[in-house]
Amino acid sequence: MSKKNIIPQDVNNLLKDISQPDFSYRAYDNRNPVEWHNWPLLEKAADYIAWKSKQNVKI
Amino acid sequence: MLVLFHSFKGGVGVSTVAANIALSLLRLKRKVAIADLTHQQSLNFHIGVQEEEIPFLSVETMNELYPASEEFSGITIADLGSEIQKSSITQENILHISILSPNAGCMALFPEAFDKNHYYIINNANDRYNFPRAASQFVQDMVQDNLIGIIRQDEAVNEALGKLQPLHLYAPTSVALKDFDNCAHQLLRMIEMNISQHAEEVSADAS
Repeated sequence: MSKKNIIPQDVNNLLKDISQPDFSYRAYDNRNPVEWHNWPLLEKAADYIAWKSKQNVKI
Repeated sequence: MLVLFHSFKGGVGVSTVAANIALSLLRLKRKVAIADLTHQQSLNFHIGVQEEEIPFLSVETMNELYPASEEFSGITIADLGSEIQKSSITQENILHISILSPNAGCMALFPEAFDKNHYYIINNANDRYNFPRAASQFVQDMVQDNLIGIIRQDEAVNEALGKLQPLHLYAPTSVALKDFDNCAHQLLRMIEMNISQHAEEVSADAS
């Protein structure tokens, strides 16, 4: 077996340049500025804060 | 000036942050005292028993703490833990700092505790994982200018405690130390601003 073949697949992916547009792995991707909208918990928390400040509830 | 550190969720590192910011302020040649109003009484452990330059104010309630901090006339760092103590003391010369950790449990409680008059520090930030990264962004969007700083997750903090050494001696190049120093600088800027605002208000009242 050649040395190249014993490198696990994810290590190969890690060594790729993530700035390449065809990079398929979602590892260490910090390029989306509004990433928290992807999480329902954070969306609900934001709605709750907005509702409270609109109702002027003492928080 | 009295700086209160608390959290609405336990286990987010209130004592760690309070102690390390007190030590950063000491390195910046500021007069600092500490007070611990928690049941755990772990602030001294984080500061290090050999640290004699930071006096410990032995108080048990907010009503005792305020006059003690006024008498001290420097910056008093108080650890309130996760209990928000009700007090009749007015907000003058008091900064409320809430410590957050970017995990789901803490984020679920965040809207309930969110207060526009509080300042925030995110502890244990880790941009490598999806949820903590998103949660840090979320907190920054919600609290905006009230964010004092972000402390990155750093095992050196834990290791320094295990070695019973202060972080700046155990790991002088650690990222958390840099973040604690940045927070201390920001805190000083805010304290100076707060004092000058207060002075302006007093002079406006007098005239």
